[in-house]
Amino acid sequence: MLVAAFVGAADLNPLATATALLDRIPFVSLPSSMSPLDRAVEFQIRLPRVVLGALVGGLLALAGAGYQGVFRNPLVDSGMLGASAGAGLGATLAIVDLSAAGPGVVPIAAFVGSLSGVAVAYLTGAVASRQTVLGDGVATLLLAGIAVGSFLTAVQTFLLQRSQPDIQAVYSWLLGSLSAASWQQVTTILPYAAVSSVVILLHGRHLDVLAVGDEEARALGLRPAVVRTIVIAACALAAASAVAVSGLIGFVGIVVPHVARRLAGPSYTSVLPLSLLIGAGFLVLADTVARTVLSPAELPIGVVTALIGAPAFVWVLRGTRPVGT
Amino acid sequence: MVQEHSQHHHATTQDSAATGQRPGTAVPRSQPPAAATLAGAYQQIEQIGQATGHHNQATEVAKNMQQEIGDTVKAAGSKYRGMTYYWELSNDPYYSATSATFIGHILDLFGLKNIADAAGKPADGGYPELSQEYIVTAKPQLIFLADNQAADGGQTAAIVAKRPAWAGIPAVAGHDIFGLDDDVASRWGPRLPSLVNALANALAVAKP
Repeated sequence: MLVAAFVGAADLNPLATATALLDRIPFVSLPSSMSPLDRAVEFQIRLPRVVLGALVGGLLALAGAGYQGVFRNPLVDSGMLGASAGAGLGATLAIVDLSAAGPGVVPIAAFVGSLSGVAVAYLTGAVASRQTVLGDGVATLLLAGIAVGSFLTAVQTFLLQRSQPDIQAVYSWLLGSLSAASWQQVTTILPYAAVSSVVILLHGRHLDVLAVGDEEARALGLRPAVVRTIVIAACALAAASAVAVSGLIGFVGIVVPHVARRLAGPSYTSVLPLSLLIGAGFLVLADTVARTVLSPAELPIGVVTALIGAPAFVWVLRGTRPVGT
Repeated sequence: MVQEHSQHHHATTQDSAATGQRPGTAVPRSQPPAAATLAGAYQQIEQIGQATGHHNQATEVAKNMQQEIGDTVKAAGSKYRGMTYYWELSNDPYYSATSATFIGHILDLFGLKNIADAAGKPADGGYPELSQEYIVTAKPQLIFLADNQAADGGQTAAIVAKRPAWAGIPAVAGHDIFGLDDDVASRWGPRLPSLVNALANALAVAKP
């Protein structure tokens, strides 16, 4: 994160930047030779982007790790419960039909859409699991999430086909971007990030207990359905907060928990906080690459996370012990 | 006249309309690509006129457009020549258009310098996504908003002025931010003189 504060399209003097940053520390007073414009670029454009990138990356990774723990499935991320599809549909509706309400409606619509997608998937799964003989509510919930996600994506595609002039705006949002990051966005999502992160982190031990099975968890005094509901709700809030300000950024939620597992073992008391930290660092790195590799042009951040994330995922999988060995 | 002559030479085969028959029918079709230059736009108008049996009228339209545009540019004067500008297609992310695009060629008529040219690569087709840091430090003297209509993002001069660190940009400090009517700014047909006129009116109040 520190390196990210020093690199960017604007050629800022590193020493002046360093003294200006240190000067911000309470009780530290250092004169800096930064011009007002450079100072504005550093503190109003670059720093909020780095901080927002860390927040978004941490939230997406934490939500992904939480979902993987709840569903006992290492391939789950927030996209599989309708969160991404719901956010995408919300943003598309805002761009296509609600543009008269102003540009600020898109993040709100994405946030509401994301939460709604998870809620619909959860309710659908809850109803279906009472009516199927699968006997495994977790699998039903996952399948319901996939079905709801596919449905929401189909509705989104239909809306886009009706309004082709908006295709570029919608796809720009779908690719993810931190280019308009501001301190206002950071302060807006901070309360949701704090609440969801604390709730998820506090359930690390419960997820470890859930990992051995629902029957065993009940025998140990845990209520699996309650834990699952709380963690899913917290993960949905975390993911919704992130996508509201950044659009859809892939690979973070699914790859980072696996990296955390490789480093710290399978216990969620370690995987969750480590995912938060690694996710933050990963997205800041990806954003730094996105905004510097073609400087002064930028790459969509979703492209960078896929380019870095896919090989990283292969590396993680190569080191994963096969089932039964 | 020299400028008009060079514009004619800039019309390329890429601006020519593809012709043929609609597959499975005997209906002739013409499929003009988006014009890359002014000369290409005139050429396409004449081709459409030829295809529809109105060649003389189409030639007249193209000639009148050329005359009107030339007169507007000449009347606009030269006090703003060399000024830098930022053309905003969208915000978040900040897509712009370089001088290699059609709109870039239009603004070239006024001798303006495009800050996006430093970022343009062949792969992005003349429409790079610009870093906000770069836009601010490039200090454009003029900002044209092609995303000011509600359907495009609703960006206004007031909203642009409130963006973090943008207050220091000369165009913002000098209130030289101009929103353009989408119906005029994004259609390369006979409304082109209206676009050139809108740009000339904006430059008339700009502060070099």
